[in-house]
Amino acid sequence: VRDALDSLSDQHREVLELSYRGDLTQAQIADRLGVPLGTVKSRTYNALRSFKRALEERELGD
Amino acid sequence: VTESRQNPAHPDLTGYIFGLAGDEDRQAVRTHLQECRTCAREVEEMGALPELIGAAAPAVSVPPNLERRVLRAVSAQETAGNPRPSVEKRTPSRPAPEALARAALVRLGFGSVGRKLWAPGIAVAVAAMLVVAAAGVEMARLGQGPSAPGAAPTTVQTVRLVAADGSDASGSASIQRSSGGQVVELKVKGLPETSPGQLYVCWLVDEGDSLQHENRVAVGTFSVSGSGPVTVRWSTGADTAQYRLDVTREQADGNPLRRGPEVLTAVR
Repeated sequence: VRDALDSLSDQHREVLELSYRGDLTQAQIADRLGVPLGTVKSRTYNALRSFKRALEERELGD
Repeated sequence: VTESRQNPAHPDLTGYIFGLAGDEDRQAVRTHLQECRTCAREVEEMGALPELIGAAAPAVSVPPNLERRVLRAVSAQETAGNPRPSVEKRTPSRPAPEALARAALVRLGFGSVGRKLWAPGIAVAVAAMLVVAAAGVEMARLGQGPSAPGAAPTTVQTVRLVAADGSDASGSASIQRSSGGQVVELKVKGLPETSPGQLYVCWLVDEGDSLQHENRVAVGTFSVSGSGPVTVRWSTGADTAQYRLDVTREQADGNPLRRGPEVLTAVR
C-alpha cells in the first residue's frame, strides 16, 4: 500500500495526505496549495484514481 | 473518466469521500447517489481509499533506527525511577492502521491480504513512542525530572527557538544532563492557545527529515492556555546534541507522526 502511495506524483500524494488529515476543508487546502478550489477537487479525484490503479497493479504483480 | 466527472450533472465526490463536505453538500451527494448509478459506483470503488492512505502513511516515515532510539529512551526513563505511565493517554482512537488497511483492501475487492503491511519491529517502535509521549506529559504534569534529588543538574546546551511561520512566538530550550539521559526544559511564549483536540509536539529532528520521510523523534507534548509563557520539562534518552529541535502543532488523534505545521524552529 505504501509503495502504491509512493508511486504517485508529489502533487497527488500531497493532496491525498492533506485531505486525509481531516482538519482542513477543501477550500483551506486550496488556499494552502495556492490553487483554485476546482483544481483541488479535480486533483483529489485524479489522485484517488491513480492510487486505486497503483493498488490494482501491485495486486496483479504479486 | 475525468470528463464524465466534470459534468455538472454529477456533484463533486471527493469532499464526500474524505468526509470534508459540509452538511448541505453531504446531503445533496446522498440524494444524488440514490439516483445516479455512476456516482454510486464511484463512491463504492473509492470510498475505502482514504483509510488506506492513513494506514500507509506511518510505515514510510519511521526512520530505520527509531526503534532502538525509542527503546533506549524508555529504558532510560525506567532506570531513572519513573514508573512507566499508562499508554492509554495516547492510545489512538482509530483502530490499528494494519487492521484498517486490511479491512479497506477487502472492501476494495482485493480479497484476503496476506502480506504484512507493518514489520512487527515498527509497530513496537510506534507503541514505544506513545509510551515516551505519555511519559513526557506525565512528567510535565508532576513537574519532576529524572535527575536524582540533590544532584545539581548541569546545563550542557541552550537552544534558541524562533517562529517558523513569521509570528511573534519564540522560545528557548535548556538541556541538562541527568543520570537517565537528558532533561529538556522548554520555555515558549507567544504561541496561540491550543484548541480542544490540538497539542504542540517538541521534536528532535535528524538529517533529511521531510513530511514524506520523517526522521524525527518526539521529546514530548504540551498545550497552551492563556497568553502567558509556558515552561515544560521532559526527559529523553536521545542525544540532543545530534539533532535540531523544533515544535509543531498537531491533532491529538493518537497519530504519533508529524502531520501539522512547524511553529518554532531552532536557531543554529
